[in-house]
Amino acid sequence: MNPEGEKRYVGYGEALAYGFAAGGKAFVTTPTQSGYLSLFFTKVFGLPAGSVSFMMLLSGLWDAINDPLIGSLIDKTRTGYGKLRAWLIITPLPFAVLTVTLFGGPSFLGGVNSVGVKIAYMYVSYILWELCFTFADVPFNGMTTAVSPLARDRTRVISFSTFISGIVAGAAQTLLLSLMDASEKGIWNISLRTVFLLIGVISAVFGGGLFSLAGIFTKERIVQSARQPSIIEGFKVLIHNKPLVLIVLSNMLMSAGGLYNVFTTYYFAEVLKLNSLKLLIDIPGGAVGIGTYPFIPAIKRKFDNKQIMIIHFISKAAVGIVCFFAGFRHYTSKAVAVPVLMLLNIVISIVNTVKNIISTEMIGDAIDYMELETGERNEGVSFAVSSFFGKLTSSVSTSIATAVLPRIGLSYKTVGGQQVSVKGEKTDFYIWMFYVLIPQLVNALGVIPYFWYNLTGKRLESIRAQLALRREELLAELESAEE
Amino acid sequence: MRKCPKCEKRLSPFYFGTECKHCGADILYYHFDERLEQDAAKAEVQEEKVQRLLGKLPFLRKKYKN
Repeated sequence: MNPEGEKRYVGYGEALAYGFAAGGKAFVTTPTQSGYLSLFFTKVFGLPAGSVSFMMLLSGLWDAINDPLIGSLIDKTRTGYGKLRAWLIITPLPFAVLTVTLFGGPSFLGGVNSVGVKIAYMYVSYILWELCFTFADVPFNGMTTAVSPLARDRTRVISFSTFISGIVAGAAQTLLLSLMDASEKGIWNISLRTVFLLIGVISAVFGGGLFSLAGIFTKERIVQSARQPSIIEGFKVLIHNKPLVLIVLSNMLMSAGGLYNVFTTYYFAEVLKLNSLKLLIDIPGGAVGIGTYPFIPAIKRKFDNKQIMIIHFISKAAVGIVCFFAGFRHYTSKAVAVPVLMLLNIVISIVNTVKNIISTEMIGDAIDYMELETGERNEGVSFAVSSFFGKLTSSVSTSIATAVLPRIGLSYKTVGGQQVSVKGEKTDFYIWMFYVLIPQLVNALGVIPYFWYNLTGKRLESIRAQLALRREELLAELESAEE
Repeated sequence: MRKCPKCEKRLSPFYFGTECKHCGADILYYHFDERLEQDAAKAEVQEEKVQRLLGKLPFLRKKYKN
């Protein structure tokens, strides 16, 4: 029996609100992606690559401590809005303020010569920003499962958020790269410091404003137990949630592709010497990615979630190898690099579009599985841990990538008040390799855990049917306790 | 404007308590099933509006007819 029928609880209005909130979050986080952040701290703030690399590593380890704790705190929350929505009401304002603080650093400390003070500012501003982001991001992701017990509602909410956030992230990237080029080419007489301060303010107001829509317009529709799980219980449940452990393991292995983000930025900045060329390369991939959305229901009918994830990993590794050798001798030539990278981007865009929806659904399925096993839902800890391991590995790979820069012959020196790059003989080739080939091969390791994943087909249907009955009983208990 | 689902008295958007401070009702779960059905009815209305709108687009008319 299908307990869902044709019913929906989440209308287009709420799904759009969540989607635009995802867009706001994407707008704020685009400049903080590892590649831009590394460039921001080294080139704009003028900090030594070693210090930046160490801070990224430390921040990743800090996430290891605070992410699961914050997830547990969120799981213990009980308010009249639910356990997740309250955080979506509280966090947008501090998130906005800390974004301006982070990107305003070079401007605010313009007259300060001490590298030690700047390094301290980097640590404090980034770690506080990251902390606030976790308090915002974990409940936001958790809402994809708590917004409705029905899979079709969750799929719609996740699809809208992925679609809109992709477009908005593209807009944020366009703005950032265009402003960077306008500054560096002398088209607009503003410094890179001012560019990033401007980006910080626009992100805070526009991005933060959109993000607040989640707290205002979404609702929680899953009955939570009245009992608040302890922090230890939350972790114990996680360890026994085998499907979630497999997803987390895969995310860890996949996130070593953080190398991709760093070297993408340096490839366009230092090899092709035109940041905004990335926008041209992203256009076909962006269009194809958008065009993929209508096919997702058909893809889900043909393949289960596990099969989709496996296809995703194999596709990316294959296209990485093809594109690396296609541009092997011509990676400094725009005429060759542009079409090759467009192909890479198209394939990655197609598989990532599907994968981003599927992977969030799979975490929701794992949370449902554990609710059936233990009676407790752990959206907070589950999403915190699944993203934290990804962030940790991404921080480690960003840290490694930034530390590798001097080893491949790339450094910066100040000439006439501007940061100018200094490159070795093979620097460009190494950047090409670390951009196109290495991340896709490392990313492919993420396929391994999925061979043991089993929340598919009839097993998944049975879990959902049993949960529907269990929730009715829980609700009846809560209502009779009230009377 | 946020209201208690039982006594319908106004609640501040910054009030995070689980129970209404006027009547003590559980704000989140009071008549939960009925409120879910209200959400389902609202969602269906929105669904019909969107399908009527999509049915006006030439390349989607066939799919969304009716």
